[in-house]
Amino acid sequence: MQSQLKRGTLELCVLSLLWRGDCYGYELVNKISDCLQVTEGTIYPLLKRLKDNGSIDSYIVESQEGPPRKYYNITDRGRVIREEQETEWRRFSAAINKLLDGEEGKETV
Amino acid sequence: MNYSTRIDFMNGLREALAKNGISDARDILLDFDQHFDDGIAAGETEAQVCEKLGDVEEIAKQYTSEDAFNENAANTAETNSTAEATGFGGNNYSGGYTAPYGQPAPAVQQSSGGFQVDAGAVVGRICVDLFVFSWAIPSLLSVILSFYSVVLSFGLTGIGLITGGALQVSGGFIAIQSMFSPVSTVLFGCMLLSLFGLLIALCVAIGKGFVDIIKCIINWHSRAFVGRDVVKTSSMKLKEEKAAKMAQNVQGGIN
Repeated sequence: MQSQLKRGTLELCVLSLLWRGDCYGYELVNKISDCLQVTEGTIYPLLKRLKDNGSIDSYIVESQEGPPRKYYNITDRGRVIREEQETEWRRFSAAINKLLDGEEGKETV
Repeated sequence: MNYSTRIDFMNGLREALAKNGISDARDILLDFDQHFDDGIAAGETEAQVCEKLGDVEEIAKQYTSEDAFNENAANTAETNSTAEATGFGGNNYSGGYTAPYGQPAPAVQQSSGGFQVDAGAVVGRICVDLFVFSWAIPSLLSVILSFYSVVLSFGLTGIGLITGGALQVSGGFIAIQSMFSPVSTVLFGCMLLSLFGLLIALCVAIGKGFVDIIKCIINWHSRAFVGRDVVKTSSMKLKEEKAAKMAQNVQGGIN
């Protein structure tokens, strides 16, 4: 259950991070694992999936030191999806919080 | 299995990807290679990077299952077009793999509510239309029609030759003089007829292609005026069928 929830929200996290600015893989993975406990390796399959469905894109930047680096950026489609998912997430989490706080009335449980 | 050195991890991942039948493993391996570069540059040890990345088997599996389930999610979202905002629940979730979210319906145009007609796009289309309808479409049509008539003439000549040859053989009512023998006349007729059969198939394909072109033009206009496609081209249908089939397979896999 916990991993399913994480997997679903991970997509929103990636889109939101890239929405704020382009990132390379390691940078993105670290930003996520700073906040969430994830197996970092699973973020790369997610990135590929998002790229395949056109939500994000990637480009190569040559660097002075070391090999060229792959950067990810969000696409217009990704922006639309991100916004929809954010709304959805906020609605969902508000509903769950309400339920957990027992505002619905305890006797109905 | 977990590894503690970069080389072992990369080899393990390569094997795991191969085992799961991942085709573009090279790009994937490059991503992880770069991850190691960056991690080590940031002061981590190879063992630390390996541990945080996790199990290679699990990673490799995600490259397969995630793809299939993603197609499924995209497909379901498109079928209920105005994808339910509350994608939680639903079969995606019970599927166990995908996001609680269905993949929201694509493209900006889909959210038709706030669509606005762009004057520039309209003027542009009118200019292109002048060219398309005064020249491109008529000349394309004339080429297609002349091709059709050539094909038709093949068929008619074939039938003519066969009947002509047959009459010659039977020495029927009409005496036909020919410089060819009746057999070769009939054979030549048969050849023309079979050629006609082949070309008919080509004609059908060309006809479909032409209809598709017209449909694309219609959609191109509708996107500017109403913000979405109004007719389905054959490639769209093909895509949908493929997605539906994929969804079916995935459903089968779950149940």
